[in-house]
Amino acid sequence: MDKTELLFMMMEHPEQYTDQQWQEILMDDECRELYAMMSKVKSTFDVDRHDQRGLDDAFVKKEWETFQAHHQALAKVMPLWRKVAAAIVVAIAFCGITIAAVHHFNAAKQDTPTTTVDNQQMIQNDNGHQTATAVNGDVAEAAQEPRLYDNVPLDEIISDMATRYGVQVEWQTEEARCLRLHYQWEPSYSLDKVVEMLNSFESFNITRDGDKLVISDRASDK
Amino acid sequence: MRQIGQLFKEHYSAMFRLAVVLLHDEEEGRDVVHDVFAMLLDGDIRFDADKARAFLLSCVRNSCLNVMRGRSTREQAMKSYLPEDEATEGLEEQIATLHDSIKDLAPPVCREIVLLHYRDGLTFKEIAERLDVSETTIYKHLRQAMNQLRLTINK
Repeated sequence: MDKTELLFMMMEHPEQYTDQQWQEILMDDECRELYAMMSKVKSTFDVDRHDQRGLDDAFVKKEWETFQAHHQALAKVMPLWRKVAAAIVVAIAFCGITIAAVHHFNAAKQDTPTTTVDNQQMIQNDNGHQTATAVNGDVAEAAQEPRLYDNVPLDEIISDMATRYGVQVEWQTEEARCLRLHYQWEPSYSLDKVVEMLNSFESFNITRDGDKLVISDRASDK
Repeated sequence: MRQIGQLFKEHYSAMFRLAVVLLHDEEEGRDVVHDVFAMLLDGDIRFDADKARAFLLSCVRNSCLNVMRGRSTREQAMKSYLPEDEATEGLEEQIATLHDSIKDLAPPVCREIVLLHYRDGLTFKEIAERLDVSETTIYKHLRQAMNQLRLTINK
């Protein structure tokens, strides 16, 4: 069977093929190009439907009202964790002292498996730097699991996140690298959401510049 | 909130459109756009007002890419997501070109198959039954159609 014929069959029933089979077929340049073209054609018809329906002022107004209502409902909850985070951050300290700030933003997901990374599980890599490793050693499985960092330097946490989200990191403050945090990270969250959560800590500031995270001292940022 | 409201009014439609282009899903697209505005409302984000549209569309693109990256290759294929390196800023221009080029597909059966599949939602098997040909014939015409379209956007 021709490989592109297989691709069409896979696209007809994508759920019947494994992740590995999909990865393999999309490794082939011709199939990947064909797949991308079909995705673009699909987008073309999505846009057609979208434009035919038309997003008039009434639709946008309704969306705005929905957004406002949802956001205001959230705002009633948000100040509490912000206050808690701000209070805890008073205890922030530099290298060797744990920041006892526990973020439980994902209380609803507490029954999901959590990978813990703590200072007993740091290993030295070839460059002599400490590297966080997952408890079960199965990086692939751990990739999507919530990760609990217990007394782990910010440097390591950001490094894991950079790998997960495929971004580069620019450190404008050396001090913040050594800050040790107790922090629960949900890899399934968007990078923007994670950045927003981390910015609850008052000793550093993270901004996103395209595919780069810039970490600066909060004081120098103002 | 008023400033955000103004941005929402001016740019929501384009942002939503881009999210749908990338995610092929209106509900998810709506969530992404709302999340971008929530981030603006909650965060301390500064950007040049003259470049608001470009900034907001960039936020939508990045958020969509995050959604896509969070899924397995199989899940991405089930949603027909573009490969990440294809989700570039020129995508919307390519789609505008495709919109015009699909009408010119030849022979007509190529255009018919594209319309039946993408516009009307028929499976390849259903198209084969309707046209009374084999599925392999459908694949052949579809591949021919995609090659023609690829040439138009690569001009």
